[in-house]
Amino acid sequence: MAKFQSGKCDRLVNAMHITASVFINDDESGLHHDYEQWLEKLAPHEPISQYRHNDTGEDNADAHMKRQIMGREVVVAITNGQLDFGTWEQIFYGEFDGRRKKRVLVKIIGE
Amino acid sequence: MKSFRKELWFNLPTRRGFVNITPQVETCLQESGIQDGLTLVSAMHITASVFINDDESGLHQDYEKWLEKLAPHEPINQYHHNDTGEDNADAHMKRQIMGREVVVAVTDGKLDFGPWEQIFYGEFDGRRRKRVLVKIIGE
Repeated sequence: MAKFQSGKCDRLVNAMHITASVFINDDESGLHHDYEQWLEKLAPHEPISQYRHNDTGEDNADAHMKRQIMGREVVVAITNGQLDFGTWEQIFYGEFDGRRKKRVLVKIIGE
Repeated sequence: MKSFRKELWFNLPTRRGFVNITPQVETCLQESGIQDGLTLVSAMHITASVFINDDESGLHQDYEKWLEKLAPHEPINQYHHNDTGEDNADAHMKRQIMGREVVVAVTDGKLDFGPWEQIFYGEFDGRRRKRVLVKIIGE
């Protein structure tokens, strides 16, 4: 089950787990529903046995695929102390194998 | 540290299309005077992409067909996002596949590319003015 959470961070923001994403898109619940359905079609969770990765005892091979589609990180310019966004850009954490503690790294460089 | 910022504007006459923006990014780099650093090129719109790949028209047709297969534009009512009155949910999907931004190293005042790397603007919901941000930092 994918969960998308909005956050306002910056410069380099990356998922530290390989079954999660950080991406920029619209904060619109219908679109998030569409992403969930679309990702499940492209990389279905079940049957679990369709993936060799799951032979290791995992059940999250689909999450590794979904994360590749949605991406690992975003890089956002900082101009005059602000995130240099277009009108609708918002940063999201995309979870594809949750129900455990996971992290996102935020690294900011500049002057 | 020096820093340079510029917006590149586009208004494609079609819903979808690819534009090689490498020359414009190179011009930005020359204007910046930066010799060593990083260039960020990002779509400022969430239904467009910036990506690096081959400047070969057959490949661009292949991308068009492949993206349309993975995230079809129609039927429009298959997407909840389109209940808001939009018709561009597929464009939000296509953009995720092709990516939002690229980061390119700057070495000796040049974009430090592999042999075939070219930067493209990918439009998935065009026929309006949209922009790309070029931000260069370094020395």
